[in-house]
Amino acid sequence: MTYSIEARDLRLDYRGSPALRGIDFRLAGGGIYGLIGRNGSGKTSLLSLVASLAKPTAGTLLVDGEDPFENPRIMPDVCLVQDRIKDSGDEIWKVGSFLRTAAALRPRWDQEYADRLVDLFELPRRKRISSLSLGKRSALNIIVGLASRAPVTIFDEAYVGLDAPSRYAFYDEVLADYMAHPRTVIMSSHLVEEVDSLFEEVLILDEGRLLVHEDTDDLRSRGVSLTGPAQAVDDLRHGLTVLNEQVLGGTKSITVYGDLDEDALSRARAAGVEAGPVRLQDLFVHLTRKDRR
Amino acid sequence: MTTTTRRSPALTVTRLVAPTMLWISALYLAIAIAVFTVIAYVELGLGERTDESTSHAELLANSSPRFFLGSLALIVTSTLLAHYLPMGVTRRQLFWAGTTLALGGAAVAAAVIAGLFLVEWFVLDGTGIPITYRTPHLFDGSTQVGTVFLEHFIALAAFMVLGWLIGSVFGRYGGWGGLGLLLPCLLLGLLPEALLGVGWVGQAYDALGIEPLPTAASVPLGIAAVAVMLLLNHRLMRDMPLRRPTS
Amino acid sequence: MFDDRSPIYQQIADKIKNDVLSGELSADTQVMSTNQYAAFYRINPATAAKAFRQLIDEGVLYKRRGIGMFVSGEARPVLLAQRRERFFREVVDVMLAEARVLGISLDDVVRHIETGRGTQK
Repeated sequence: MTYSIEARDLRLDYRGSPALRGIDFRLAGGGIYGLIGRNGSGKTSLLSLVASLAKPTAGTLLVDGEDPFENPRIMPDVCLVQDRIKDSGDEIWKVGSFLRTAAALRPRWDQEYADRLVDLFELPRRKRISSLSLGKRSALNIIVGLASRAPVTIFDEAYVGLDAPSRYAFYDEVLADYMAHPRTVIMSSHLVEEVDSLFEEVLILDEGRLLVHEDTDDLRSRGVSLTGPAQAVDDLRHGLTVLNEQVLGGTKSITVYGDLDEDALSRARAAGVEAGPVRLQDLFVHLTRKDRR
Repeated sequence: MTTTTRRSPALTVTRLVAPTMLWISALYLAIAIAVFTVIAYVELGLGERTDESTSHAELLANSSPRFFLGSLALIVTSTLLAHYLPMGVTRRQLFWAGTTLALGGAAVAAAVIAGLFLVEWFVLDGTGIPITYRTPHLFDGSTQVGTVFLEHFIALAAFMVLGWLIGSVFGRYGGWGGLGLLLPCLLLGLLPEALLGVGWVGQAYDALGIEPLPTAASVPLGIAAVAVMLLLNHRLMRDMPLRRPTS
Repeated sequence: MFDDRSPIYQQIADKIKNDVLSGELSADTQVMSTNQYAAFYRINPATAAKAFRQLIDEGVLYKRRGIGMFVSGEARPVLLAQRRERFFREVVDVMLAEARVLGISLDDVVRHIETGRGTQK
């Protein structure tokens, strides 16, 4: 089961200042989507609206064609996993009772899968959540996110607390379970180096605005780093957005964003310019750099 | 995919929260009953009064249970929202869970109190000591179980819903807003008892020479005041955001 | 794992083509499913599916409904022809252009290749 998500001029004020300044997008659903943004860019605000934790100040948000806020059909089918359990007092719960609560309230919960994940991430069922390490707490939340099998499953910075082996175990589980039980998965972070290959589409938020929403491969191919003789490199920059520029003697290196003319590129190659890939993480860093705003 | 058909989320939440609430309340009641039983035995055992005894069940019922349950209810809104909103339960469903918990809690406590009145009557009536009450009540004998229950149920429900309402107001309007609205809330919360004219309020009426309303009017009005507070809780909860830091 | 400029699906398609050319994947053998590819390379299955779509369009793979994807009979000859053409365009032509810049005559280049052939044999 997969749900589409659509936002039209979506706005949210948080404590008197705008957290979202008019967001428009449509996710068809049934994909793994990457939501990237710096801290404070509005990622969590946007996801809180999808999970009905808050009400939009203005604009429209539709999940599976309906307003999710206070919607008894949609809300149980949206699962927002955050990096840890914040200020909710859940710390006094035992791991087992926390999982039983989720099992009782998530309509598509898979207990066998939850048990398997508890073993995989080596979670002690009888311990209180407060006595768990940060990594184990993250793992507990991730287990709830996966085993809920919610048609909209959101991991908001959910994996930053995990150590490397657990992170890779998490990526593998997300992918495997997504393929076995297709749903709409959103992964949000400011660190995407390890996960960007999982994303079908990427959304980049910056200061409460949607900067980019593109197919991941298309986005990746629009970023190119060009290194070579300064003059030859500069000849290529026309019509492109230059995200970054470095000079070393007569050699210049620029990062451009846009549709590069293949003929021009061939000519530049002959003139000694090397074209290289730009990683999604770097593209994001350049696109959202402070001095570009 | 194992798909379990989900029963009412409101009932599920009630079922999940009730045991903890019952445990805390049972612990409190056990202590209170022990204390007042000791006081009763000391008074009677010392032989200060063999002709009559003031009701110790009344003494207990008039005092701390409503404050205890009322303060327990302060955290209803914040706890329910923080725990269960992220699990996909709607605020409306949480409101119904809160209502069930508050009214259910008041009913259980009122039943226990009615039971205490009955036990006290059994013990003292057996020794031939008549029971007197310190303050006015809807009932005039400890064996009128239904009326004893009704009076205490309304009073306890009023305090539980009041505590819940204060919690909602603070959750919604923050510290200063909550403080500003505290007085109107308290007045509304004390209204049912004032309407019933029982307990300390009834005593005050006697002293001031105010005639309390007839039961046929005061009981429905008292219940209506509780209903108004429930309605306010509903309005406060139905679009309350769950505060989370933005990132 | 995939750090080249070309998109990941392009790289997967190239890898399968290379396997066909080297004979590792012979005609009518089944290739891994998109999901297996996705899990193995830890990539989105839609990305893997793009590679397969491209390979089907190019006639390298064919689909058997409900079973999976197989290497087509003409895949190897077609790919060989493509690669030969590409070899001249991307290797030989570039080499000759470089030689011209360096002032190496065509005869020198040919002579070098022929001596190389001599030592190779």
